Amino acid sequence: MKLSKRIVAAFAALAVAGVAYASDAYTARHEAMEKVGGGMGTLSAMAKKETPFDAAVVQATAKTMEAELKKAAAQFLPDTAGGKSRAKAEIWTNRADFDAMMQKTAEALVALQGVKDEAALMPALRAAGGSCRTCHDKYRLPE
Amino acid sequence: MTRARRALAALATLGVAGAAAFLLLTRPASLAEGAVPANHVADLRNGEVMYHAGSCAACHRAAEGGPGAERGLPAGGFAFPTPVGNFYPQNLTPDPETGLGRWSERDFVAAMTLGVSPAGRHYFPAFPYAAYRSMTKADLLDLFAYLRSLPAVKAPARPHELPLLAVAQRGVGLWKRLALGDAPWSPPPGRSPSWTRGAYLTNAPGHCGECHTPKDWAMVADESRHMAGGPHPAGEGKVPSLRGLLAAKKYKDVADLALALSAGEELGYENLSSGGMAAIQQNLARLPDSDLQAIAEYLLSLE
Repeated sequence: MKLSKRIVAAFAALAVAGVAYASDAYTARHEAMEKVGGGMGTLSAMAKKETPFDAAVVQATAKTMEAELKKAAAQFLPDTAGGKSRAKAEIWTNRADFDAMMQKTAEALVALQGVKDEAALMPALRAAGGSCRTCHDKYRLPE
Repeated sequence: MTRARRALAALATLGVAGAAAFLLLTRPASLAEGAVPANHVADLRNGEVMYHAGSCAACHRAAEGGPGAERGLPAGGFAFPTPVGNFYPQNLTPDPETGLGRWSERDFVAAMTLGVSPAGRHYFPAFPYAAYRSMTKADLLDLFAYLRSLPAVKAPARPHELPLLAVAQRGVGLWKRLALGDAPWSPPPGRSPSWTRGAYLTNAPGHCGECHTPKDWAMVADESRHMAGGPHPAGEGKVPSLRGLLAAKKYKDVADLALALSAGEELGYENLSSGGMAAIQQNLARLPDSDLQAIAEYLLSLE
């Protein structure tokens, strides 16, 4: 009796830990991706000339985006699809391709950090955003 | 013994009658005489606009690494997934064996407006002729001329992966009775030229309602919920509503939505990237700006 209770408790703890593992990974990458999106908002407002051009802001924002993207990329842990997550299962079956796309996007964000004048912002931003689109097209489920 | 025989004979008669009724009710239509204007002078530039407005390349794209893929040609081969199985849209390049090379203008208009192949078979409505039949004849013929101007790619069609393919295909005739019963759509009168153009591009070549208008029990678009969104046709997730976009603060104004259609996520419009919309957005990006403004004006008028 005592033993079986302990086994049940152990399984319950494992199940809770499993759910927590998946939802922690989801929350961590979701929050990081939201910050990448926030940076995109700041820089697209600047590219559309809704806010004044400022090379220092571009550099700092793109640097944050790169760091947050890498944080998010590290949270696509095995068996963390499903639930609220819009991550497609193909991320884990095509892992090398997914990782290469993340790497390419990170490189586009590094290039964005080097923008020094207003004319260079639009093409560098669109290159980075286009990289986000390619990956979302392939690996993100519709809402 | 005789009773059993009689019962069998009755059953057989019923079966034959049922099959005959099915064949009669599902007979593919053919185009009326004079349905295709003779001596149309094609405008290739307009045909290209129709090609991008209809996002033909999104579904008819070549398989990854397949023939025509590196040049972005609509050679077919890419799977179009649905909950009942995968469709493989056909090669739209002018290859005589595997593409449209031997098609006549009449064949093309019949395919686009009746959903009937040159061999007289129904196309499955994954090919959105329910919307294309509302296109003008001039636009259809220009589009055909544009497709014929593309480089020919030899790419044999893959058969659709559907259960009971032949019966299902003939059965499309029943669906057509429900879905194509009314006259083709035409823009309501009395609006600005730009709004009218936007409504036409959205509903006829653009076939936006194929995903954004929910379907009823018979897989027929429920026009009382025009563009109101619904389940994603591929089976997972939702398609957003295109109604009330201004009230929901999704876009600031016509210029903002036109820019979203033109740039998509390149400028952070991230809700245009998933569920197949990324390819459509990149095709729309190739339309003249006046057409994007027109589409935006029409969409933002949907309440």
